[in-house]
Order: sequence, then C-alpha cells, then structure tokens
Amino acid sequence: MSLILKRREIPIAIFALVSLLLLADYFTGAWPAVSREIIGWAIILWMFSYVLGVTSLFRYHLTRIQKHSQYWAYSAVLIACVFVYLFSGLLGGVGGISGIPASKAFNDFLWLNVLAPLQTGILSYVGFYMYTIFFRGARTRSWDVGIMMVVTVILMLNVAPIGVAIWPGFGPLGDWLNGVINTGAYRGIMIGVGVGLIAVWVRAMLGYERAFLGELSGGAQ
Amino acid sequence: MYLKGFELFVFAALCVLIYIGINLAKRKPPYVRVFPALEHIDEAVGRAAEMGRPVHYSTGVGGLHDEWAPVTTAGLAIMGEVAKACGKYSVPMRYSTVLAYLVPIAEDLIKFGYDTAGHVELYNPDMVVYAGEEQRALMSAMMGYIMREKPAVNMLFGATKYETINFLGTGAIVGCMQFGGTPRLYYLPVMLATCDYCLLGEEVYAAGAAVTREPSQLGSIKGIDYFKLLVVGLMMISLALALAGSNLWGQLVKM
Repeated sequence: MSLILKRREIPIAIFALVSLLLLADYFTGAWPAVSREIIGWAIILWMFSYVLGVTSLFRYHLTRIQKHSQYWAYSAVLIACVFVYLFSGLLGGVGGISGIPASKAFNDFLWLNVLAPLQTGILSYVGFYMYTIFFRGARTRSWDVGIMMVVTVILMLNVAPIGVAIWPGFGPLGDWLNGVINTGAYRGIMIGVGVGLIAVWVRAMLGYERAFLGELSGGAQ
Repeated sequence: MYLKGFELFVFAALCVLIYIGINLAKRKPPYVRVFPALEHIDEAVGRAAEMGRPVHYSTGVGGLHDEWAPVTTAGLAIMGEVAKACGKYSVPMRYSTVLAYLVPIAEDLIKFGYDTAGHVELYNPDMVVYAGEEQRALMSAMMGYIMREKPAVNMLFGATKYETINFLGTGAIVGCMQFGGTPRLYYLPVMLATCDYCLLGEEVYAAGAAVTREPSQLGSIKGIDYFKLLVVGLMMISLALALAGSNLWGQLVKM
C-alpha cells in the first residue's frame, strides 16, 4: 500500500485533476462550487504544513543551542520569544473565549511595542538599501547594466525637482523613456512571463517537471 | 456559464505547441542557447569550495499556492542542480524559506542532489531553514545569516518580492558571488545591479528546463518559441486590421 502511495503518478494525477477543474471554472464558469472547495482545501492543507515548519525551526535552533554553536544565544532568544508570545496569546483568550486579562495586555504590549517596531525597522532597511545599493553593491560589468544605470540616473532626475532645474530636457526625456521604451519592454516581458508560466504547467502536467514533488528531473528517487 | 473563447484558444494553442515541441525534441534534441547564469553554477560552487565557505540559496517569498507557483517550481529545479554541484565539491549549502510546506520539498531536493553527486553523508536536514511565515522574518534571517557566515555564493531564483533588495544588497556588501532570477519586473533592476549572473523574466522558466539538458525539457522551450512566432503573426494581423480601419480584431478578442 505504502509503495502505491509513493508512486509519483499519484501526486501528478492529483495536480492534473485539480488544475483542470480550476481551469474549467476560469474559462467556462463551470463548477464554481468545486473550485471554491478545492481552494478551501488548499488553505487547510497549507495550515497543516505549519507543523512541518515549526518542527524544522525548533530542530534547527535546539540543535544549535545543544551544540553551543556560534551565536547559539540568538537561537535561545528566538525559542524563548516563540513560547512567551504563544502562551501569552493563548492565556489571553482565543476564538471568543476570554482568558486572563493581564496576559492579553502583555501580548498586546509585545505586539505594539516589540514586534511592530521591529517589523518597521526591517522595512526601513528596504528604503535604505534601495538608495544605497547602487553605491555600495552595484556591479557594472556589462554594457547592459551600464545603460540601465544611465537610464536610472535620468529617471531619478526626471522625478526629482532638481533634475528639471539642471536641464529642462530631463522632463520629456524621462517621460519618453518611461512611456515608450519602458512600456514596450514591460509588455514584451509580461508576454514572455505568461507563456513561460504555462510552459511550466504543461511540463508538470506531463510529468517532466517534478521539482515541486521534491524530485529532480532526469533521475528517479 | 460563459466561455472565454479567445483566451481558451490562445491557451490551447500554446499547450499544443509545447506538446509538439516536446515530441519533436525526443527525435532530435533542439539547440537552446546557453544561460550564463546556469553555466557558471559549477564555477561558483568551486569557488565556494576553495574559500571554504557555504552556498546560500533562496526562492524568496513566492510559493506553490499562488500564481507564482511555476516560477517557484523553476527555482526549486535550479536549486536541485546547485545541490548536485555542492555535493560534487563537498560544499555545505543552506536554503532559506518562509513557507513551511517548502521545507520537506527542499530537504528532498538537496538530499537528492548530494546523493546524486555521491556525497549523501554531507547532507544535513539543517541545510533547510524555515524562518517563519512572514516576509520580514525571512529578510532578517537571511541578512543575519549572510553577515555572520559570509557565504561565498548567494543565489535567489523565484518569485521574489522586496526581500530581493535586502537579500542581494547584503550579499553585495559582504562580497558574495551573486546569482539571481525573477520574472517580477520591479526587482529586475536590483538583480541586474547586484548580481554577477542574472536570469531575466521568462528565462527563469526556461532555465528550470534547460538546467537538466533533457531533450523533452528543451523541447518545451522550443514550443514556446513556436508560440511566440504565432503571437508575432497575430500582432501583425491585428496591426494590419487596425490600420485598415477594421474592428474585426476587437470583436475576435471579445469572443
């Protein structure tokens, strides 16, 4: 029985059936209830997969703590944070069941004063990197990247007030680059992306693409 | 009930052409141009072996549950090949993800890669790290790892979002050899600027097939080329009709 369940044809068949049903709904509007049910199942299965993730997370960090690997203290902090946040939330009451008010207040405090600022801090890195990346990490090793850098500078000067003050031509030049060159390239790439996306689906349907099953093509596990 | 006739026709035509491409390739393997990003994977992993430092890989926040599933699949396929190269040169690798269901898939792929290279004993389940179901958790986990461990090679292939900037920015600062690929247009410039080798747009999808060099996989790329010819033909027809003042094309598309 277990050998039958391990056959790669079974997940490929499930994938094919599910995707054909969803496609039928998209193209013809047939069986919308079935599509909704399938998507609901997918979400339920996804939720169950959290167990795998948490197991992996704990295994990784507990091993580091046990072996006293370099920076193991960070792993200890992470494990402690998981438990403190989880239990303060659970004791504070979930799903309409009231719990200990002090625990809920502590959980809210952690959310507002620890987690939210940390998340904002990490987000601010995005802006920081976006502005500094070209100075600190850019690798202009080809003509293509050189052209992109020049265009980037022109577009920055196009939107920055100082650009037009330096040379009024940055306005129309930037608009032309955005409206003609950029839009044309964007549409071309989007067609290619759409076509490539369907090609992967066809390969998966025919069983050639098996990476999503944890297998490499060209060899049997 | 309704029928999106034109869309269905285009979709069916593409599927048929890819199928034809695959079948033709079984008889005569087609020529597919070399992707520098894939050609240099071996060299990059060899460099990591010389430096005695690990290889870091991620598919970003994109998963198998949304419209970006095909690109994540392609990213995972490339990761399998990277794992093979890591096994060949006895280099440790690490895969970071934000999606729990990718953990067992990545574990299997990495193990299979090391096994194929004859070094399954080097495989360790801790090579796959789950950062938590939150993009910012992935960002901070990857940035911290890169700053602490300074991997020799840093790779990001998949449906990446704004973690691309932090991930590749940090890699560039510590001097990693960087590989990237995404069909997401917003992040292509960042990849171009910070990576040594890039896969742009649909190249990522094609790379998933090309990395194996299997005739059937390469055939699907040929099928895409046939379809693009068809698209160019349709564009010419629509242009001619529009110039002639006909509304036929508009009616056809609305079918």
